[in-house]
Amino acid sequence: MKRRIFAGFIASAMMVSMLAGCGSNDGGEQPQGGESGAEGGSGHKVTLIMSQRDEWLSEMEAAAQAAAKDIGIDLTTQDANSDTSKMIQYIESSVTAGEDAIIVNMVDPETAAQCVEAAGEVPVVFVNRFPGDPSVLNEKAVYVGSDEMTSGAFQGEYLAKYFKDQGKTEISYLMLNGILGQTSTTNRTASVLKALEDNGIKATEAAAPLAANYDRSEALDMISPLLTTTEYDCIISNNDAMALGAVEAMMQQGLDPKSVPIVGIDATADGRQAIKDGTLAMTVFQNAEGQGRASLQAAANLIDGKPIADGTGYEVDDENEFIIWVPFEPVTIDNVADYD
Amino acid sequence: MTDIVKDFPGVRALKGVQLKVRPGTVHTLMGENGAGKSTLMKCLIGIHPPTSGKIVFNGKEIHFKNTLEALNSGISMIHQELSPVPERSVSENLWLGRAPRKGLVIDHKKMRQDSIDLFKRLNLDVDPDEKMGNLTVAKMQMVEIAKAVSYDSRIVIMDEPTSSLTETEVEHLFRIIAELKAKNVAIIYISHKMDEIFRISDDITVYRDGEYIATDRAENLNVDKVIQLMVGREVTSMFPKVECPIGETILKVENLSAGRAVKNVSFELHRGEILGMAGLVGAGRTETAEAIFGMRHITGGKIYKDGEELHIKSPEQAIAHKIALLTEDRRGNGIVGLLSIKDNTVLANLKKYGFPLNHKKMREDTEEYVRKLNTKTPTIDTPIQNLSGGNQQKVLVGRWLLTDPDILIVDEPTRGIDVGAKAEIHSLITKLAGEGKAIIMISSELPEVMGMSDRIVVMHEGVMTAIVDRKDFSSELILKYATSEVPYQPAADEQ
Amino acid sequence: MQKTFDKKKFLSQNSIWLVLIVLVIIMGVAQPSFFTVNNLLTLLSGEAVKGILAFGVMFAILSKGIDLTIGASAGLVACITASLVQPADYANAVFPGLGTLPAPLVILIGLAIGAGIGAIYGAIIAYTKIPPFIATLGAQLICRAGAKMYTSRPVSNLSSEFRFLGSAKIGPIPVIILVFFVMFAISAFLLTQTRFGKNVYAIGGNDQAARVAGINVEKNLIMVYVWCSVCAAVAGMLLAGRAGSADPANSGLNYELDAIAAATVGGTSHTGGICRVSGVLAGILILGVINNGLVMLKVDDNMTNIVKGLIIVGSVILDMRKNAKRA
Repeated sequence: MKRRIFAGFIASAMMVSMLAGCGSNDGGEQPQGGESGAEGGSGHKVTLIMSQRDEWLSEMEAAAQAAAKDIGIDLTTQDANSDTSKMIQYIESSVTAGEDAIIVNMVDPETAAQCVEAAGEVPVVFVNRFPGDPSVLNEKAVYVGSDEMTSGAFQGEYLAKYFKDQGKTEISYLMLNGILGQTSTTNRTASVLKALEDNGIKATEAAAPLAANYDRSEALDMISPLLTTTEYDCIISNNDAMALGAVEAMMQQGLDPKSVPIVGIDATADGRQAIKDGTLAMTVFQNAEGQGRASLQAAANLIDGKPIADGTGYEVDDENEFIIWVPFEPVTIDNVADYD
Repeated sequence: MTDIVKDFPGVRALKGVQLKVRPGTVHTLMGENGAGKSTLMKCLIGIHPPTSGKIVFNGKEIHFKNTLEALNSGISMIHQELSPVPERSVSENLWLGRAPRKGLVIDHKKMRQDSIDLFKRLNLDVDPDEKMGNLTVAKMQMVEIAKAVSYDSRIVIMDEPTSSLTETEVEHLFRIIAELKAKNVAIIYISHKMDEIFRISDDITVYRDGEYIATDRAENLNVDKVIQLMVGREVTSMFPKVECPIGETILKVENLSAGRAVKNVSFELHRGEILGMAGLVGAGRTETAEAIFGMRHITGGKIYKDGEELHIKSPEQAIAHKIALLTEDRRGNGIVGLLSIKDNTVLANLKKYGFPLNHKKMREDTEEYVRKLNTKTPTIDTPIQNLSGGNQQKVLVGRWLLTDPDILIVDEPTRGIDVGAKAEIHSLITKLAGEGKAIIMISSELPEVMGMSDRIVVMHEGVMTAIVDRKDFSSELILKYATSEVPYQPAADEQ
Repeated sequence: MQKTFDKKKFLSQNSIWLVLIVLVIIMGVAQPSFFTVNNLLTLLSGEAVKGILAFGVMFAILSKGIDLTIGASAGLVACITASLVQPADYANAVFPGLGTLPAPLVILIGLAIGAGIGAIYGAIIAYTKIPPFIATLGAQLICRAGAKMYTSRPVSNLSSEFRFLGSAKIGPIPVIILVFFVMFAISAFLLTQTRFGKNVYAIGGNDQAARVAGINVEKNLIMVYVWCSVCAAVAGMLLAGRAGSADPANSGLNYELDAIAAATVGGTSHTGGICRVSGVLAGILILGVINNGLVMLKVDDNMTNIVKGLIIVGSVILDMRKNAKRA
C-alpha cells in the first residue's frame, strides 16, 4: 500500500516537472517577442491556454502571439487537448509560475467558475468560448469573443431569405453536427434552427442528426448514403470542414453541390475558396485575428488597470461591461473578397 | 459411473464406459492416449458434464456442473498440467478462494499456520511463503496433493502425477498415497508407467478408443496382459536396439558452459550413434541440448560439427546447420496447438516451399510423414491440439525429419505417450541411427535410455559425471554417476 | 485422409457471413434504397479506409499483439503527403512555392514513411519485449503530435493526380474500392501464400514453439508492424485523397478502434494464432452495413455506436465459445 502511494507521488511529481518543462520551453521561444516589441515594453507575463488547436483556433493563437510581440508581452501558450482537467492544471501551474494574467479558451464553458477559482488572484480573460454562467465575469475575469448564438443565426437568416425568394416556407434539411454534447455544437445547431423558425420557415430534419466531429472525411462518409436516398432542400453544417465534406460527397455521387445551398461556419481559407467556386453558399466569419488580438490587449489592460476595451477596436456589451464582442460576419460570394 | 457417453463436436469421445472404485484403494486407469481416461475424469469432476450416463457417489446420483461442486463434495483432481497462480505464495494458492477470514480481511497468519500444519501432517518440505512459480514441478504437485487433502476429499484423481518427478519424489508420493489409502480415501490413478502401476494399484481398469475393456484386481494381471488389453494386440519388444555401424565424429562439444545450468560439458557424437543422456531432474541435460541448439546463451566452450566450429545463436541457425531438437515441453515450445497437422509439420522447413508457398508440396510432404510415422488423425487439416499426445509427438518428429537433420536431439521423446506410440518412436529412432544420423536422446526413464543408447552421458547439476559405454550399462552404475559430484575425467586412451 | 465436405465446420467457420447476410436483408427490408448499386458503392467507399487499416491490424492481432498507432500514423502520412501536392500558387500551402510533386513519387514517400514508422516501433516491440499495447499507444501519441507539429491547419487544395486513388472513378466504380480489394488480395496472399504469413500464425499461436522451429520471431514481428504501418500509410493517403484535405488533428482520429473492431468481429482472436482474411472482410462489411444502414434508417449516432458496441462484444463472446469447444 505504501509503495502504491509512493508511486502515485512520483508520478505526479513527474507530471508537474513535465508541465513545468513544457512551459519553460514555450516561454523560451518567446523572448525575442518581448525585446522586439520594446515600444510598449510592459514585460508582462501572460499564458494563453488553448482548448485545442484546430485550424481556426491556431489562427487565433497566431494573432495573439503577433499582438504580444507588438505590445511587448511575454506570451506562453499551452494546448489542453480538449481535456478540462488538463486545462485546470495549466491554469494552476501558470499561477505558480507567477504569470500576470491568463487567457483561457475553455474546453467546456460550464467550467468557467472553476477556471476563475484556479486562477485565484490572477486576472483571467476568457476568449472565444462564452462562460456558461456569465455571473463569473467581473473586474478580474472578462470575456472576449463572439456570441456563439449569433453564428447559427446568420446561417438561418441566409437560408430563410433564400427559400422565401423561392416562395417556400416548408423545407427539410440535413444537419452536420460537430461533437455531440459540446456547447459550440449545441449552440450553433440551436441558433440556426431558431433563426429559421423566427423567420417563418418550417424546417424538418431529413435524417437523424449526424455527428461528424467537425471532421471533413467523417462528414463525407456519413452524408454520402443519404444524398441520393432522402429528400432535402439544404445542408447545414456546424463548421466549414464538414460542409466541405458534404460538397465532396455530392461531387463523388455525381451531384452538383450548387443545386442545394450548403452553409458552414468559420470562413476558413478552404471555405472561402468554396464560396468563390460557388459550391458553398455561405459561411460565417468568426474573426480569429480580432479575437486573438483583443484578448491579449484585454489581458494587458487588466494588468495595467485600464478600461478593458482600450485599444482593441471593439466595444463592450451594452449591459455587461466585462464583455467585449468581436462580431460574426456573414460571408457570401458578394463579400468573400474582403476576407482574403 | 455407468454408461457414460461424452460427445464432442464431431467425435464421440466416450462410448458408454463404466468405472467402479472402492474406497480405500488405488484404482489405476490405463489405456493409450486418446482412450478416454482423462475425458472420463473430466466428466466425473464436472469440467465436461457427460452427454448421458449415470454417476453415483456414496450411494447418491450426482451431476457436478463445475469442479468447485465436485471439490466441495469430496472429489478432487490433480491435473497433468498444473495451473497454479505463479506470482502468489504457496499458502495463497493452497487456500485460493477459501482463505480464512477475520471479518472481511484475509487472516494471513491463520492461513500460513494452516499451511504449515498441513505440510507437517503430510511430511512435506515446502515453504508456505515461497512464490508458487519458484517451486519445482514436483513441489507444486505436492502442494496440489496437500490441497486435495485439505478439502478432505474422498476421491483423489491423479493424472500422470509422476511424469516429472525424480525417483525420490516418486517414493514420497507413494508414501502419501499409502497414507491416504489408510484414511479410506480412494485414489484414481492415471499413468503409463507399468512398474509403478503394479507397485501401488489394487484395481486396474483398461479403456481403448473410448470404450470400456476390462477391470480386474492388479494381482490377477501382469504387464504383458495389460499391454495386450490396451493395444488390442501383442507388443513384442519395447526397446528394439539394432546394432549399426558407428561412423566418424560429427559433433564435438568442448567444455560447453551455459550459465549455472551447464558446466564444462564435453563429448563427441558419431554418425549412426545414439548417445543417451541420463541424470536426475536439474542435471542440465535439457539445458545442454538447448545450448547446442541456440536456445540458450553459451557462456563458454566450443562446438564443432564435421570439424568446423559453429557459432549458433538461434534455432534458425542450428536448423541451417542441420541440427534438430525435439523439445521436452511439447505444449510449451513444440506444437502450435491451433494450427493444423500440415502447418505444424512444415513449420521448421517453410523455406523449402518457395514463394508463393507451394501448398501442394506441403500437403504431399505432410501426408508422407503422417503415413510413414503412422500418425492417427482424421485429416491433415485437423488442429494438432485435437490429437493425443503420442500423435502430436509423431507430428513433431515428422517436422524435424522433414528438415533432413544430420543430428537429431530428442528430449524425453516418449514422456506422456501411450505404449504403442512409444514403441513406434523407439523403432523410428533406431532406424534413423541406422541411416547414419547422429542422435542424442535425453530420457529420465532408465530402461529406455539404457535400451536405446550406444553410450550414455551422465550428468549431475550441470556437470558431466560420466560417459558409460553400452557394455558397462547398469542402472546401479548410472544412478551412481547421476548422484556423483565428481566431474568426468576422460581416460587417456579415449583421447 | 480424403477431404470431405463438413457442413457443420463450414457453417461454424463462415457463420460471420451468415450474420452479414441477415443484416443486409434486415437493412434492405427496412430501407429498400439500401440495395441500390449506388448505395453499395457508397458503403464500400466509406469503409475502404478503415478496412485497409483492419487488414493491417489483423496481422498484429494474429501475432498476439495490437497496433493502436495506425489511426495517428495514417493522419501523419496524410498530412505529409498532402503538403507535397499543393499548388505552388496556393497561399495557404504548407510549403508555399514548393508546387505539386508527381503523385507516384509522393505515394512512394508516403509508403516509405509508413514503413519507417512501423519499423521503429516494431523493433522496439520485438527487442524490448514491452507489450505492443504500450509501445503502440506511445507511438500513437507521438504520431498525432508529429502531425500537429507538421501543420497546424488542414492541408487542402490537393492535386487531382494525387486524389486519383481516393476520389476518382473508373466507369461507375470508385478507385478507392479497387484499392481496397487490392489491399485485401495482398493481405490474403501474405497470410496464406508466404512464409511470413505462416510464421505470424505460428508466432501468435505459440511464440516459443515458433522460435524452436527456427523462425526468427523478432524479424517477423518487425515485419508485422511494418505491414500495419504501410497499410496505415495507404489508408492515410486515400483519406486525404478522398476528402481532398488532411487535418492534423482529426484525420484518422480513433480509426484504429474501428479497424480493431472490424478485425475482431471478423474472428481474429486476441489470444493470437487465429485469423481468416475472409472473416475480416466480412467484419469490415458488417460494420459498414451498420454505419450506412443505420444512418439511412435515421437512427441517431449514439444508438449506432451502441449497436456497434454490442456487436463487437457479442462476436467475441461467440468466438470464444467456438474456440473453447474446439479445444
